[in-house]
Amino acid sequence: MNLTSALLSHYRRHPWQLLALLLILIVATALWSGVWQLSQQARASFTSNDAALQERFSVVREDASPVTVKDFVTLRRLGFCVSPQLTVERPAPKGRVIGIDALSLRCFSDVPQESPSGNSGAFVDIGEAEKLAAGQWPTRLTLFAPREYSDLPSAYRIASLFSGVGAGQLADSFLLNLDALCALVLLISALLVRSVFLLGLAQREASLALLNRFGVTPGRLQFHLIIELAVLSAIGGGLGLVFGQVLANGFGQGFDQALSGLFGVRLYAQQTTWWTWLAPLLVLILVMIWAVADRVLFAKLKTNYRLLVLVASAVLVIGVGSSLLSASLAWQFVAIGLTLAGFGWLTVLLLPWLLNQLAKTCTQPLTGWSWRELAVMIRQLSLPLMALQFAAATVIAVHALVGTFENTFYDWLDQRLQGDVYLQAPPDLDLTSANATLTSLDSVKASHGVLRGEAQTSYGSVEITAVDPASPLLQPWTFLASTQETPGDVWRAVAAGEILINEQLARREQLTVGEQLTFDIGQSRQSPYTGTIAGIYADYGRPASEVLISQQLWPPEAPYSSLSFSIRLASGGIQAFQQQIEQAWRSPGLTIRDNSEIRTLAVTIFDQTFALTRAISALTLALAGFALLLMALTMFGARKQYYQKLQLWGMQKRHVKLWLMRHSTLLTGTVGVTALPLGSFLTWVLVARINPLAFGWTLPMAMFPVFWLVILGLCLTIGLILASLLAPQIALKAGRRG
Amino acid sequence: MINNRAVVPVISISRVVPTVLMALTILLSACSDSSSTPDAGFAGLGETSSDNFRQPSVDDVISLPQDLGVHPQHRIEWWYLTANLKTADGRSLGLQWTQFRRGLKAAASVDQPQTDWNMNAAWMSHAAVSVDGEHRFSERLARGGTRQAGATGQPFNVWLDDWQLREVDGSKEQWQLTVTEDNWSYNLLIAPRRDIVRHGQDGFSTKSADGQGSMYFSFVDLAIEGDVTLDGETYAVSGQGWFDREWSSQFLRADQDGWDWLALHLDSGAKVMAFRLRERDGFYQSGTWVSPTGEVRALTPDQLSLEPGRLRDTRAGSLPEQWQLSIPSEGLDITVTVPPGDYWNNGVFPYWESPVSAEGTHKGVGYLELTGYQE
Repeated sequence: MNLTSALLSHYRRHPWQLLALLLILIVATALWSGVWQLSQQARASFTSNDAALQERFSVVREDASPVTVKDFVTLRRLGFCVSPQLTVERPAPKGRVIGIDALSLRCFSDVPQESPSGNSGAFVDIGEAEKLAAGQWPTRLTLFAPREYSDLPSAYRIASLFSGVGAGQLADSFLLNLDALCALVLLISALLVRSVFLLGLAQREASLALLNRFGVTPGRLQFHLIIELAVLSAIGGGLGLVFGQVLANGFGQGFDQALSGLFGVRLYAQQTTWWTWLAPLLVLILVMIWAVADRVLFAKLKTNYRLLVLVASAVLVIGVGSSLLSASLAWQFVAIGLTLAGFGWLTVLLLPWLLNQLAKTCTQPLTGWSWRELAVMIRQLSLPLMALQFAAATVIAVHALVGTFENTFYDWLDQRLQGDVYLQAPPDLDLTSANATLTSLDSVKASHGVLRGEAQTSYGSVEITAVDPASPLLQPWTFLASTQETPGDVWRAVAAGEILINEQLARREQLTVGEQLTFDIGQSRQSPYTGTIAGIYADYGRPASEVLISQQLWPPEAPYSSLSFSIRLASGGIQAFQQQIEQAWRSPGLTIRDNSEIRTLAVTIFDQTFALTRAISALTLALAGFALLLMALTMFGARKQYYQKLQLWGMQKRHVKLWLMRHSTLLTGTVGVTALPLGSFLTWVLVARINPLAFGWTLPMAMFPVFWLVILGLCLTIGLILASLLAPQIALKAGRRG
Repeated sequence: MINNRAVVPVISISRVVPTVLMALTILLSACSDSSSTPDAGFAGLGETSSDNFRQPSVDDVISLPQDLGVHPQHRIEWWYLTANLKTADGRSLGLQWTQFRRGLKAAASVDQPQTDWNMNAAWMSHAAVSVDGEHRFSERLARGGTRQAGATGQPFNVWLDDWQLREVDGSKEQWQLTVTEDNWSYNLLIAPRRDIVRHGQDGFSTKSADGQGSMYFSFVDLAIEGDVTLDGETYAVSGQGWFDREWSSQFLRADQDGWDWLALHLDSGAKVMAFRLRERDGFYQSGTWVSPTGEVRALTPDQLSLEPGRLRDTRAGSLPEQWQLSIPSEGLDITVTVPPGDYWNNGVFPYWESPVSAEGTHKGVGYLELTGYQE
């Protein structure tokens, strides 16, 4: 028998261990490689988006008329590097289409010279976009320039399109979240693999020593063990990658919607290369080897309990401290890692100590034994317990984040989707006459017009929205901050000439209520207006800065990009209203949307956005639970004799089982309980630290105690399942009972 | 000249493909009219046309000035200028300007007003300056249909962005060529001194033993003067040039993996053009001899010999830096040599384009183009 088969004979004796290792590797790899693939695809999409359309400068006409293909040709013939972008606004669910001209983009120095194939899928050719629009949807042509030309012909000038935060920065943050999740799953699986592998190693100690005595050098043994783990990782990882691909494809659509919903970037299928497969596999193998390196490669370290507690505490303190103090997004993620590690480590170090202390104070021998037994279990199962704790904490945090976002988002949707229908007015329609017509219609109970356009501020270009502050539809708005006591007072202040800004603008430019902001609507450069900020409103899920003003402030000559109405219908359905308004405006084919439909659509997109995150965290929890069961089943072999002894000493089997159940549920329940503060801390970091850094807006911190109970319940269920799986092992053989 | 210049995407696309090439290829494949209708007018060629583009035939006639303009019924065409110039202090300076058009849909005319983004052709322009072994190259691309790039025969005008070759008003025929890049530019006045030379059979230049070919004529004797600016320093230059016009609809045959082309101005006043299309089992060659007094003689494959000599290792592959050209009937036996330097035009489709000098029975200067050598 050669060395390899001698070593592998262990798995012939313990096939479940092999299966457990492979299953952990497969599931873990499927999870994190699936997410990794999605985030890589997204990154490529963002890169192409940013490179192609870094909206820094655009060329506009001095006479304010829109630029045309002729202007593009004129400027190119004069040697200016400009590239067109035709935006076609199609109503949902078709959405926006962006046409670009890859050939003229070449003079932009930051266009990547190499890119994954299929690049053109992120955008369409401008000719295609024009064909798609076919005069049916509104289009907007923009001529981008790579730099601020000062020598443009007099008919043109450069307009800055700088929005303060590019989609790229936001995207990075979003993807960082995903990457962090990947890393977490990878680390949890490393913990699990380590626990199973070390268990195997302990069981093989005798055979390894024997091989050593037969002349196999420790070096060769180590080499074989490392190769064994690498091969196992490659097999499990390879299969996991296939499942990961399935997962990525499955979530691709929802993720795509998330990207376009949050950042206006479409996900496109990235060509799978050998690297897409090899890279995760290599990472997996390396992490797995790293996970067991200390035990395989080095002699068993002598551990000093006090020192370990000290180190774990230090890690925890550094982690928490960094979360509190650091303003760097990446460092916040490192802090999460340190906090998790420190907390988990301390838990498995301190809990057994506490239990032993508890045992000492016990007068009942059975109870004392029970605490000690539990302490031993925790020590032996420390790694899978830590993994379960991390997973539970992650699920709690992700749930809280998503739940918070969900509630806030729905409130915000309701705020924005006032009225029954949304009506997009035809171009060039005058607000006053449009209002007059709407008021005259018997199907309209109330209407509220919104003008949208662009304004220049000293902070760059911002979106501007003009409303009628007296409209009853606006009264339910809530504000993050305001100079007034009630929302009604805020709207009265707006009517009096004060302004509102969204949270993004406030955060980006450190603006607060009471301060003044000067802006110029429609790039008219004629009448800059300075207004006092009366309030800051929440504006979730998009990066743009926005200023909200009273319609009275909108200069009559300034162009607006859209005029829309929120309408509360008095009687009859949408169709009756559509008929009336189309007749009144002599404009067939008006865009009229049912607000409840928009809400449903928005909610659907939102649900898909976080389906991925929820699924990963839930699957991680399942994986950790599963691994704990497997480990406990194996470890219990050494502990079952104590339970058997209880029976031999006369305790009824039912009672012994009850003790077992108590222990297993206490074990997993304790993990669940310790996961709660960790989960809450994670929630706080995500909501209060990472979200503002990543997205530019905050969410109100909320706790979901009911969900905590769910997690606790889950942990207890795992304990119960564990007890029921272990129970058969404690049964005494019939022959012995007598 | 050969339909080589056509940068047609047949040449090995095995290298790392840049974004724009991808975009271009996708656009080309997406927009090409791939309907399979044989063109009855060209049944004599014995081939079925794969689309609606016209195939050139031996019956086609070259007429000016219209043939200086666009041929919308043909898929591929180019305007190609090379020049061997000297600066005032006697330094040799080679210069190239080329514009390619690749039609995406056969059209009766390109004169219909184009004000939208619908792409009827892809345009590409190349410019290069070589001096003291230093080679500068730049490439521009444009979509057809917007008039960002285009060409007309009357008045003669070929442009892409601000690069332009155009006829200038005056009593004698004269063109102006302007190219501007970030660190270099040129502005030349070009005067044709001889009538055009129709290559092959009255302008139909055969490109393979099967009889496929292109329409091809040249201004072989151009007097050139003007300014070349390099890194802010402007040099007055003068010398002679060669201008090719060629159009076709055919791709290279699948087994033709590259070509070698040269055009020379000999000190005797004679001009010579020779090319070789490298095929899997050999090559197809041809050429044109123009005597000092202007008589034109098309050279059949057996009337010339064009043999590669010493190889030069370059960063993109090794290629012949020396050529032996002999035309026994004209008593010509010369060695054509590339000066030191790297003359790769690293655009979407890399190729070698260098000034050359000739020694032997005749002396002279000219240009050499090699394609299909990149590794």
